[in-house]
Amino acid sequence: MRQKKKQKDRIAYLFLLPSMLGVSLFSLGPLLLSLFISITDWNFTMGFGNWNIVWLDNFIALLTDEWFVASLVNTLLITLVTVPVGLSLAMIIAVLIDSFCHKKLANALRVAMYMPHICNIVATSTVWMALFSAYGPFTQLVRSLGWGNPPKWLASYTWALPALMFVIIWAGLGYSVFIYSASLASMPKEIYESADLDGANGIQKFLYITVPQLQPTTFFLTITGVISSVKVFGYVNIMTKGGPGSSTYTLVYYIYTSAFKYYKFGYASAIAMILFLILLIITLIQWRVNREEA
Amino acid sequence: MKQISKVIALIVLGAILLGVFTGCTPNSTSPTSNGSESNATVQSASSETPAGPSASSDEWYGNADGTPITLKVWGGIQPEYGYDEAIANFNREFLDKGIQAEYVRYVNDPDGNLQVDTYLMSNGEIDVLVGYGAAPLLNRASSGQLLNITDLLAADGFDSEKELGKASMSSYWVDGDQIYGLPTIYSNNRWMMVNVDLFEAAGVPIPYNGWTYAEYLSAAEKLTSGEGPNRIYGGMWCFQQDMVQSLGVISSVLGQHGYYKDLDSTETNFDSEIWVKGMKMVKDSIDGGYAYGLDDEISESLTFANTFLEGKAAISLNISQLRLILDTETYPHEFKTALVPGPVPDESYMTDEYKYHTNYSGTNDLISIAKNSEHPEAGYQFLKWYLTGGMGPLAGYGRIPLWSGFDSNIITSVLADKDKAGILDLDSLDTYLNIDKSAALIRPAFKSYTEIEAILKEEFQNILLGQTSIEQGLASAKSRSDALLA
Repeated sequence: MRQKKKQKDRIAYLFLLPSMLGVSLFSLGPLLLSLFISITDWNFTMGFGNWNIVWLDNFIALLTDEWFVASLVNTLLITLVTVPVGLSLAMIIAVLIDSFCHKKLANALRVAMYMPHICNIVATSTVWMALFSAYGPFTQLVRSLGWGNPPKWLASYTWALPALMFVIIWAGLGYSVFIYSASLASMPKEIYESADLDGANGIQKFLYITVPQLQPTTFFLTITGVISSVKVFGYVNIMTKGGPGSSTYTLVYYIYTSAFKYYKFGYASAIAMILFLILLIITLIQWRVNREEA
Repeated sequence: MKQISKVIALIVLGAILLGVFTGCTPNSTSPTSNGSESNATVQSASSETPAGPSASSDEWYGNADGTPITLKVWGGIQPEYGYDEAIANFNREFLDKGIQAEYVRYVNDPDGNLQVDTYLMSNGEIDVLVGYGAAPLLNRASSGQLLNITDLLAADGFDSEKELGKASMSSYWVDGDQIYGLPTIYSNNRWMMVNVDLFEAAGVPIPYNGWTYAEYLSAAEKLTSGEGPNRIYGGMWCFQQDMVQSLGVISSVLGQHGYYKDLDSTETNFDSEIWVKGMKMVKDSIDGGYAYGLDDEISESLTFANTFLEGKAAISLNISQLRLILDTETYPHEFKTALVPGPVPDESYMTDEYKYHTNYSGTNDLISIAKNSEHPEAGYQFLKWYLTGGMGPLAGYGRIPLWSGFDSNIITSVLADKDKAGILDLDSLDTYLNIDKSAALIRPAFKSYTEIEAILKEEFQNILLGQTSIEQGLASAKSRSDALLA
C-alpha cells in the first residue's frame, strides 16, 4: 500500500516537474537574479558579471529621480482612473444589454465589445493614433461637437495621458462586460421579482440588488484591472513613447527605457523591484479578502 | 488499462520536457530573413567554389580544409541600397582568398541596437559592424565589444587621419587616439534638401550659397500654401527623426566648442545669444505656420518620407535620407531636389567659414570589427576593402564615401546615372561634395557630452511644445548641464 502511494507520488512529481522547471527557469530564477542586479551598477554592454555591488544606491537614487516620480504618479493616475471608470461603465453596459437587448443582439454586442481585448495592441494603437491625428475621425467628431480647436491629443502635455487612459478603458471594456454578463446570467431572478412586488424602480434594483450581487465579480475585476493597469506598457510604447516629456511615462515603460535604451540594468531592476512590491501588496490584499470571504 | 495510462502519461511528460529543453537550446544560427522573429535580414554569401589555400593567391584567410570562412557584416541600411551589390563584388573578389561575406541588416533604432549589442557579446555572431553616431561607438568600444584596430591600421600603413581627415577621425577617438571604428561616409547634416519645383513656383531663389535666418523664414512663408490636410509647409525640421540636426544647424556657428564655452568643458554656452536666436528662428517658423511643429510630427507621425517626398514640405533637414530621393519606386515623385546649406543667424555669418557649414566634419557609418569575431584578420580585409572603394555601389544611393581616394566626380556621375528622371540637382550635389573639408574643426572628447545633449533635447522639446519659454528652457538646460560639469 505504502509502495503504491510512493509510486503515485513519483508520477505526480514527474507531472509537476515540467511546470516546476518552467517556473524556476523563467520566473523564480529571473526574479532572484533581478533582485541581485538591483543592488549592482550593472550596465548591459559591460557583459554579464561585470558589475559592482552598490547595495541601496539605486533605490536611493530613485527617490530624487524626477522621471521615476513622474512614472509612478502616471501609473497611479492610470490605475485610479481606468479601473473605476472602466468597471462602472462595464457594469452599466452589461446591465443595459442584459435588460433591454434581444438575446441574439446581446450576444453580438458582447462579442463586438470583446474584440479590442483580443486584437493585437500594435494594430489597435496604430488605429487610435490615426483617430487622434489632427484630421482624424476622433478629432473631427470632437470638432463637430463644438470644440472648435481641439488639442493635438498625443502631442499635448495635458491631453496625452487622458487620451491614453481613454484607449486603455476602451480596450478593457469588452472583457469586463463579458464577465459581468456571465455573473448577471447566474443571478437568481426571484430577488428582482420580490423587489418588483415591493415596488422598487429600475435604479433602486440596480443599486440595491445588482451592484451588491456583483460584488465578488467586481472585486475580481478590480484586482485584475489594477494589476494590468500598473503593468501598462504596449499602448505607451507605441502611441506616445512616454512623451511629450515625461507626461505618459509609466513604471514599466521606464524600466524598459532604462534597461533597453540606456542599458542601466541595475537601475532598471531596482524600479522592477518597486513594481514587484506594489503588485505583491495588491496580491496579498486579494488573498486576504478572498480568505475572509471564504 | 492502468499500465497503458502510465505509458501515455510518460510519453506526454517526455514530450513536454523535450519541448522545454528544446525551447532553452540556444539558437545556433544568425538572425534569418524571417522578419517576424527578428528585425534583421540576411544577404547570403556566394555559393561558388573557392580556390582553396593552394590557389595562386598567397593570401588565404579561409579554413585549412580549403573552404572559405563567412564574415557576418551587420549594417542598418536596406541591402537593396547598394549593399547587395557591394557584398556580391566582395565575394567575387575574395573567393580565392577564402573570405565570403553575408550582410545582415538591423534596424537602427533602440531595439535594433540592443539586438546588435546582444549579438556582439556572443562569439562570432557579428564580425564586422557598421554603426551610426559617435555615442554607440564609444559605448561599445569602452565596454570591450569592439576590436581596437589602431595597431592593425598602423601595421598596414593605413593613415586614417590622412585618408579620412583628422577632423573626421577626432570625433571617434577613444582614450585619446585609439581607434575602434572608422567613419565611411560624408553626411553633413547641417545641410538641407529643397523642392526646386516649389521654389520656382513661388518665385523664391534657391539659396545655393547659403542664407540667413531672416531669409529662411521669408522663404518658408512664401512657400507655404493651402489649408487643412492639403497644406504645403515651407519647412520640415524632422525633430522626431533626429532633433540633434536642428540643434546642429544652430550650434554650427559656435564652432569647435559646440555646446561648451571652452575646450576644457568647464561650462556650457547655453546662455549665448546664438542659442536664443536659433531657437527663436525655429519656433517662429512653426508659430507662423510655415513649418511643421513637433506636435504635428508626433500627432501625425510625420517623417521626411511622408512630408518632403510627398511634396508637402518645400525645405527639409535630414540629409541622411538622401538615398530615398532616387528611390522613386518606393517614393514616387517628380519634383527636383537640390541640396543647400542650413541658414546662419545673420549677414555677419555669411562668410566662407560659416555659410557652407564647412567647420563641421559631417561623417557617419562607422565600420568596426567585433572583439569576439573569430576572423579579425579577414574582418580587417573587408573593412579596408569596403572603406577604400568597395562601398562604391552605396554611392548610387546617396551614401557618399568619405575616403579621400574616392573621386567625387565618380559619385556625381554614378548618381547622375541613377537619376534618369532628372530629379536631383547635380550642381548642388557637386557643391555639397566639394566644399572645403579641410576647414572642418577637430572636436575633442567633451565631458558629459551625451548627457548634456539629452538635456538640451529635452528642454528644446519643452520649448517647441510651448511648455516653457526659450529663455527659461535654455536657462534650465544650462543649470542642469553645468551641474554635471561641476
